[in-house]
Amino acid sequence: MFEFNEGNLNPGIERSFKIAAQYLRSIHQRVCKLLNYNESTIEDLAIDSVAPLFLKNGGFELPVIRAFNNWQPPIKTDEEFTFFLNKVVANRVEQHITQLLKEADPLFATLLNSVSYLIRKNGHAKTKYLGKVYIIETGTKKITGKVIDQDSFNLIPASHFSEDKSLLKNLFFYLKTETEFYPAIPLNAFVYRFKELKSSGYAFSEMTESPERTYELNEFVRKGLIAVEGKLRATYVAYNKLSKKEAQKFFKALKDISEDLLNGGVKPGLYEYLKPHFDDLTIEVYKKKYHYILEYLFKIMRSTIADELKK
Amino acid sequence: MEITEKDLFNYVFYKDTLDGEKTGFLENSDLYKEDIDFYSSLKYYLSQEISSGLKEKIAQKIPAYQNNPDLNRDKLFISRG
Repeated sequence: MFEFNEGNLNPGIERSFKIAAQYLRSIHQRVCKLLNYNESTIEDLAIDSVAPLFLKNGGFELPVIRAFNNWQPPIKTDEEFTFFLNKVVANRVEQHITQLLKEADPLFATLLNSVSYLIRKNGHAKTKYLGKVYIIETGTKKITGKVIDQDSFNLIPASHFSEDKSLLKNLFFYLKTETEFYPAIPLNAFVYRFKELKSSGYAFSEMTESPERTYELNEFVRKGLIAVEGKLRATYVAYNKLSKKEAQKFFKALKDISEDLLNGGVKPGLYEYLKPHFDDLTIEVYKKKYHYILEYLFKIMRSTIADELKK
Repeated sequence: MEITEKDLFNYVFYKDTLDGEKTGFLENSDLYKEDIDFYSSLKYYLSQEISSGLKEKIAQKIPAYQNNPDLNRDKLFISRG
């Protein structure tokens, strides 16, 4: 019988960190926007990803110990244990990254919820494979063949995304008949492709719980900008918290942010958005004078967009 | 042939535990090359030492981690009961 307990967690923590870092390197393209290149690295993200596994956070057991004790079938060999840790860490990394992507990009978050609704509605299921979440048709939750890679997925003709009612069914059919890949759709890649197509004018009414609703992302982002413009005038300029010129610069920065929202997501360092619009704005001055204002305005813009998407 | 994630993992980490037919298939096919390359890189990375700077960062964020070289030997990771 194998034991894994709190007696000595160091090697387990180190091994988990290494696994997380390796998974993050393999999806660097997806996470690069999340990294603040001045301060954050893949390694920082790896530590943040696995830390919750080793924090009790009010519970009696560490999550990693609980997962070990609940793993079925029970772990009896070193091989099984290594595979267990690999799976647990891969899942944790995926959860962490998805959460960060959702926080950075309200469009991604809303579309992800809509896709989850569509999955449930059509009786499909989600499963995890090599650290990524895939949508599978039904039945077994185990993927037993080669899954489609990112490049091949992005090459699927847009016409296969255009039929609202049978969107996922069409994609499964395409994978089975036109490719040699296992019929599994990579969830996040699907959401990003979907977002890209929506931005270019495709309408997917079946993706929401109000089937008649079609929407244009550009319009919602515009509404987000209108909301922050109003806030800048009414709260900051009117009460002399910002000069008119400063407010104009903030608006330009928020416009740049909105463009990034439409094109894949926002960089975490908001300083980088404000800097080009001010002469010699240092990080110190930014943190002291502008950081909280920009964070707050961005929050308003995100929540306005999210509210519009929910309507 | 049906190949699962665990088959790919075992092929790289514990080849002896994998069914001979599957081993033969994976040895003679490029179909899973990317996945096998991923696990091979992971296997290599697991054998590498973590820098002292990173150990400090881990200790800052995970209180259960003690930055003490005597505690970091992987052989202590699992003990047979």
